[in-house]
Amino acid sequence: MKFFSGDLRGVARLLFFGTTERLETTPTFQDPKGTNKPFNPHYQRHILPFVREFESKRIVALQKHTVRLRISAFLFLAMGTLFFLLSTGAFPEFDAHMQILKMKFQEMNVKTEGDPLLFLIVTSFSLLFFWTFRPVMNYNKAVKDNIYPNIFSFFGSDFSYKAESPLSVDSLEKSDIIPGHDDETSEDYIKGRHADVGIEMFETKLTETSGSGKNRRTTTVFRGLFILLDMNKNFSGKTIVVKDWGKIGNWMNGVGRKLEVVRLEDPKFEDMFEVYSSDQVEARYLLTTSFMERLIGVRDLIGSDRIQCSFYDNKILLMVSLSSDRFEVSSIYRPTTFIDECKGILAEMDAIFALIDHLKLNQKIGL
Amino acid sequence: MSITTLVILGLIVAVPYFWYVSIIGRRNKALEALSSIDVQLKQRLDLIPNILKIAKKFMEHEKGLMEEITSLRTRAESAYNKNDKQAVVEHIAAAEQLSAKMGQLMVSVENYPTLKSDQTMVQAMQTYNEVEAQIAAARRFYNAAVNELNNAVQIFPGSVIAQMAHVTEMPFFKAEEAVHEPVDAGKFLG
Repeated sequence: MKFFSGDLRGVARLLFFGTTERLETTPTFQDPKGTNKPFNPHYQRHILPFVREFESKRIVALQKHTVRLRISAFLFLAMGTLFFLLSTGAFPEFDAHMQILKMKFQEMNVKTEGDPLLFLIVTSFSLLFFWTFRPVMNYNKAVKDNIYPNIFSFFGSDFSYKAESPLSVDSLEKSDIIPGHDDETSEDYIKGRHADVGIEMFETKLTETSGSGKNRRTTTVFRGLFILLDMNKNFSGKTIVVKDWGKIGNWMNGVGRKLEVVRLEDPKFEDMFEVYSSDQVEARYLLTTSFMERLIGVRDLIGSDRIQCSFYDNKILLMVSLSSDRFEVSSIYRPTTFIDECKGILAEMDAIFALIDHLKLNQKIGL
Repeated sequence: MSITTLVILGLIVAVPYFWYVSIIGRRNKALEALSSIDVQLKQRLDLIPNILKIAKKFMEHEKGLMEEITSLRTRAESAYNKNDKQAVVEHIAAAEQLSAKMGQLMVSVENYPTLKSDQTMVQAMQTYNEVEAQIAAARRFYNAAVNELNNAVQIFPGSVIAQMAHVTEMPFFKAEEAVHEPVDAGKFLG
């Protein structure tokens, strides 16, 4: 969960003036013109009753946050000044103590990144930053736990939302499209049905750690959405559609796979994707010429050009790479209306529903 | 004999051999694909009597069409030699003719509302459509495999090796001619 929305203006206003914008009037949700199913009645009934309560919670959280922000700012300046003076040799006798500390770290087998003082300061700043934004995190979590389910109920009684995902990426290993990773952070789990198609999705970030000691690096191997949908065809094997990495990349990607390469007729599809399957006929049964065209069109719907999918267990798993977090709570430094959250969720779910309609997953046809 | 000579001799033997292996592999893949189609065609053949039985109760005016379908079904059921190009062509032609006639029957069903809403007919048609989708997929796999085989057999020096190994081209699974003709809407709308 993001704990800092990037609202630097809000932070500065709080830090220097101790003030924030407050909710003055009762908010209303403006549905766009021509909306088939207006959201405003749902907002009035299920979201608005909580606005005042959460506005009070927001103010309390900001009060705590302000105190911590000011303490942190002071400590940051003090420690920064001290470190600057020490590093310029203003206190030579301090260097001797640092050498002793370094030896102590080595005895305790604690690996430090270079200078132990720098290590201490970086660690302290990290803890301070976390402590400062803890009230914001708690507020955001409360919004996700209490308000988001009410927003998602707009899509139907069978829609549910959980801030922490009960589904993990490990449960999807069978799909054969999960990239290798060491760590996973999953959130925003959504489950429901649209046009009689079951949907399960969650947001995740996968990271990989390489090297050791000073060369230890953590890289993000994937960030985006996993969307699991009911497939409208029965099949028993597995077919995966992954990004085309060129001849050598594809060859390397195919090493160790128990699936065969499937060459399909659509040249544009073949340029973008590489298909592997346990059954050549079944792969073509699933990836008809029109379905291939639709899959290419998914890029425009989702706003991502990195999509991979896997057909297994009568489901289709879509792996959509995104550059930013979705389903996030808006800035705590602005009045609580939940309108931005509602708009964001409506837009995201519209894209998902458009995806299901576009792929015609709700229709039992041979196309 | 020097190492260079041995390597060259080895290549002279190995390259044609692996080329031959590749051609045989592609031919076997095409035969495997043809078998996949036959599995689906068999499923379709098994469905047809049930569909005709249901349709007969309602479609008295389509007797001629149903008799044609029955006769085509018998022809499509007969065994054939997969290694005989002409036999494969005739087998594919029979399957496509049957597909075309069944297509006509499905369109005719639209003129009989009682039949169209009959639950057993609805289910039979859904199953038939599923099988048609499988046949379409199997046909695409077959054509892809035949394309690879034919390329290997026609392009020199593969053509020489194929001739020596008695491996010939195989026919594509082409759509029935009627499918390529423009649709006359007047025929359907009256």
